[in-house]
Amino acid sequence: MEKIEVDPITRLEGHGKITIFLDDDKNVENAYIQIPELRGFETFCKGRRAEDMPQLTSRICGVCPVAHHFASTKALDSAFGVEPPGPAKKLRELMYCGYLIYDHTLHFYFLGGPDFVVGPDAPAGKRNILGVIEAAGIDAAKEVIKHRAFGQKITAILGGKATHPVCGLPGGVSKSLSQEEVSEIEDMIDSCHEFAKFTLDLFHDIVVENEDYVDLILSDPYQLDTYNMGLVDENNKVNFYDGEIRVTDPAGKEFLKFPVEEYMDHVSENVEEWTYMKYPYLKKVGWKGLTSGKESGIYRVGPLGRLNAADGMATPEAQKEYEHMYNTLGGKPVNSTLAFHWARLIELLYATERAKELIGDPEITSTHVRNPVGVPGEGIGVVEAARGTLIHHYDVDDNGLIEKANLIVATTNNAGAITMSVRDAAMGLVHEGEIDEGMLNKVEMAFRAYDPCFACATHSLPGEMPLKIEILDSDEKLVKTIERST
Amino acid sequence: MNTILIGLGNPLLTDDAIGIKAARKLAEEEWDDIDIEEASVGGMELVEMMLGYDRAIIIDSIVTGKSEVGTIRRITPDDFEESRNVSNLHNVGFKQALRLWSNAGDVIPKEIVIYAVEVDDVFTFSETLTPSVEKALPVVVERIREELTE
Repeated sequence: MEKIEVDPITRLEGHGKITIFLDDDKNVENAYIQIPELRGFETFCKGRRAEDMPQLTSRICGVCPVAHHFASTKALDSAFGVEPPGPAKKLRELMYCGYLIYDHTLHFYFLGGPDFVVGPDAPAGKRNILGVIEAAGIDAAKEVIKHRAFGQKITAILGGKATHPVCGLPGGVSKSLSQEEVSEIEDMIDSCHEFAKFTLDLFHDIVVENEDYVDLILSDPYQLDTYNMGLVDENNKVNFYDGEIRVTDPAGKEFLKFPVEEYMDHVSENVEEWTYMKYPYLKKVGWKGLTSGKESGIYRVGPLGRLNAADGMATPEAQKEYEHMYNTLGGKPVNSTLAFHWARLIELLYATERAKELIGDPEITSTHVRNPVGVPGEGIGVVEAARGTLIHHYDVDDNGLIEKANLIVATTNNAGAITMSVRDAAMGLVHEGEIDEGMLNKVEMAFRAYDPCFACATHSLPGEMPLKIEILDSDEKLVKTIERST
Repeated sequence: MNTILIGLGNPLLTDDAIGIKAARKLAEEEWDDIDIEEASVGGMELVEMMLGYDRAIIIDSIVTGKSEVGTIRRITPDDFEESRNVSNLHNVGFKQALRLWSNAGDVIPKEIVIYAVEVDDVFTFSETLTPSVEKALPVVVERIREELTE
C-alpha cells in the first residue's frame, strides 16, 4: 500500500496567502492577503439560457449555493421585468433563513468559536470543533450537528434538492409547500430558535462575561473604521433577502441608500497592478488606497457591516440582543472586527425568528407562486449572503440568452477591509521579527472573523484550503514561511 | 455490503469534474446494494452522506503537483494528513468531521476508500476535462468497477 502525505501546501494555487513585509527594524511594514482566482466565468456564461443561471451559479461555490441561487433568480426577475407573487417571495425568504441558520451555525462552532471557546492561545491542535466540544460537552456536539442539519433540511424541502436548489424561477418558485411540509419545517424552526438562544447564552458566558475577551475585541489591532453596507427593509432593519442597499459612514450616519439597480452608480472596483484581486469602493468617496476612515471609499459587508448599516433588527429577540451588543461594545457603530462573531449570532437568532413568522403566515401554503415573465433585458439581483452583499448582473438578449454576466461576491466586497484588518493585526502583534504560533493565530483571527469564502473549488482533498503566511524582510527576501499542517 | 459511491467535485471547474463524471459513468450500469451519488460538498456534508453505509467509495480530484496528471491513487483516510486548525475555509476537514460523528455516536462506514485522480486545472470555468485527465476517466471507472464486483 502506497503511503502518501497530502501536504496542504501542495495544492498551491488554492491557498489563501498572507504576505507580511518587515522593515529594517523587523517590524511590520505592510501585509497583504491573496486569494485564488477563478478564470473564465464570463466566457463560460455567454450564450447560456438565462433561466439556467440560478442552477449554474449555485454550483460556483459549495459554500453558499443558496445565496448565488437567489441573487441569480432575482437578477432574472429583474431581467424579465416580473415581480414574483407575495407567497413566492415568502417561500424564497424562508428558504434563505434556513441557509443562514446552517451557515452561521457552522461558522460559529467550527471556525470562529474555537478562538473563544478554546482560547486564542491554545495549541492549534485543540483550536477546532473537537476542542469546542471538549469544552462544551458532547451533548452540545449533538445539538450542533442536529441544527446545522435542520437548516439544511429546510432549504432542501423548499429548494427541491439537498445542496444545489432548483426552485428559483424568474417570477417566482417552482413549487409550493404542502401542509405536512409546513408542520415538518415548523418543528425544525422551533428547535433552531431554541438552539440560537442556547448559542447566544454560550457566547455570553464564555465571551461577553470575560473581561479579557471583551478587551481583546476592543483592542487596537482589531479596530477598523470604514463605511458599512447592507440590505435594509423599509424601516431600515436588516434584511437578507430583499430591500435597498444602505451605506453608513464610519461614525454611523446614513451616507447612501439606493435601489439595488443603481449599484453601479455608487460602487466601483479598483484594480491594482500587484494583484488580480479587485477592491470595490464607494465612488462618491473615491479610492484612496488601502486606508480606513471617512476619506477612504472602502466599506465592510457581512454580519457586522449589516448591523452597522441598519437601524436594528426586525424581530424582537434579535433587536434586544442587537442593543445588548452595542451597549456592551461602546455604542454604534462598532468597528471592531472581532465583533463580527457576535453580530453573526444575532443574525442567527433573527433568522430563526423571521423563519417562525414566515412559516406561520397563512399565505405560505398558497399555490400562487409564479407570475408570467415579460420581455428579457438587463437584470440585477442582490441578496445578503452569509458573508455579505452579493450582486449578480446579467444582460440577456432577445432570445433569452446571456450576453454578459458579472458578479460581485461578498468576499470581494470585503477585500479591502480584510486586507487592512490583517495588516493592522500583524502590525500590532508582530514586533522585531518575533513570530510565534499564538501571534500567528491572532493575525488569522482578524480575517477569520469575516468568514471569507475562498472556496473556489467546492472541496479539496484533504478537505480544506490551508492558509500560508510568508514573511519578507526589507529586501523582500523570504525570511519565514508558516503553514498550517498540524 | 451496503455501499455508497460518491463522485465529488465541482462540475464547472474543468478537471475538478473528474469524480462526478466517473460516478455518472458507473451510474449507467445496474448495481445491487450500491447507491451512486454526486456531490459538490466538503467535510461535514460528505460525512453526512455516508452515515449508515458499510462502505463508502469516493472519487475525487487531487493536486499534489508531485505526480503526473492523470495518475490514479487509491487511498484511505489513514493515508492523509490534514490541518486540524481550520483556518479560512468555511468548511471542515473530512477527518475532523469523521471524528466528530463517531464521537457523537453515529455509525460511520467501516471501510472508506478514496480514488484520487491527479489533475491539472481546477481554476477555469469549463465543462471539459484536460486531455490527460480525460484519458484517466475510463481507467478510474474500470478500477472502481473491479473493486465493486470483487
